[in-house]
Amino acid sequence: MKNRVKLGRIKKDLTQAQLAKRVGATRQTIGLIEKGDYNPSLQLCIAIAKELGQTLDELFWEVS
Amino acid sequence: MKTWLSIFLPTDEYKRQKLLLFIAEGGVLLVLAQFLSLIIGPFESSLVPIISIGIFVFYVTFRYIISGMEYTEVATQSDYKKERKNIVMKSLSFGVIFTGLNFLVQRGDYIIVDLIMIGLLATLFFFLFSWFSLKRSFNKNRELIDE
Repeated sequence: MKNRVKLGRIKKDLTQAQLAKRVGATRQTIGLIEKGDYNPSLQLCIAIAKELGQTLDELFWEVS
Repeated sequence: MKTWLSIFLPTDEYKRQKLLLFIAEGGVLLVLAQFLSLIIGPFESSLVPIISIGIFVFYVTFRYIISGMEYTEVATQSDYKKERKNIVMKSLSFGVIFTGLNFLVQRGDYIIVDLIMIGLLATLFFFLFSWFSLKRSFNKNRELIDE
């Protein structure tokens, strides 16, 4: 699933490791999500959205 | 997902899902192995469960190692070298403990040289599996890193 997590993370000036720690995941999982190779659970999507200060729509709704 | 297996599973959801998948696949193989033994048997009674458990453990371990998800934070050369040193130390510790326990359990049945050789082999395999897992993790993480 394509998404804008990477953009949101860069805007917040966070590293993958920092975001991973804040949402209780590993750096590898964040990397996989950003690359679109792993579809996170709704729980993790919400945790990421909260950390990045964005809505689920802004981060995960269809990317053209 | 709530299951009594949770206590054995990692907290990271990607690792958790993957591991559950490997265990489920291993479980299916175990059932197939038992089924096959019924069809092409009879075998010596103690052989079937040992081989079936061996297939399960080997399959789950092998899938886990090649998935490259054991060392999730190793993404740079320096991390890699540091972890490789850790693996050497862990392998040596494992070798010493394994040989010690083996000596206590097998005392009298084997000569010392045999126990040391078995210990060295176990250490070597432990190191090789860990190193291969590290290599797979490092390659996977390198593709994902963006910092």
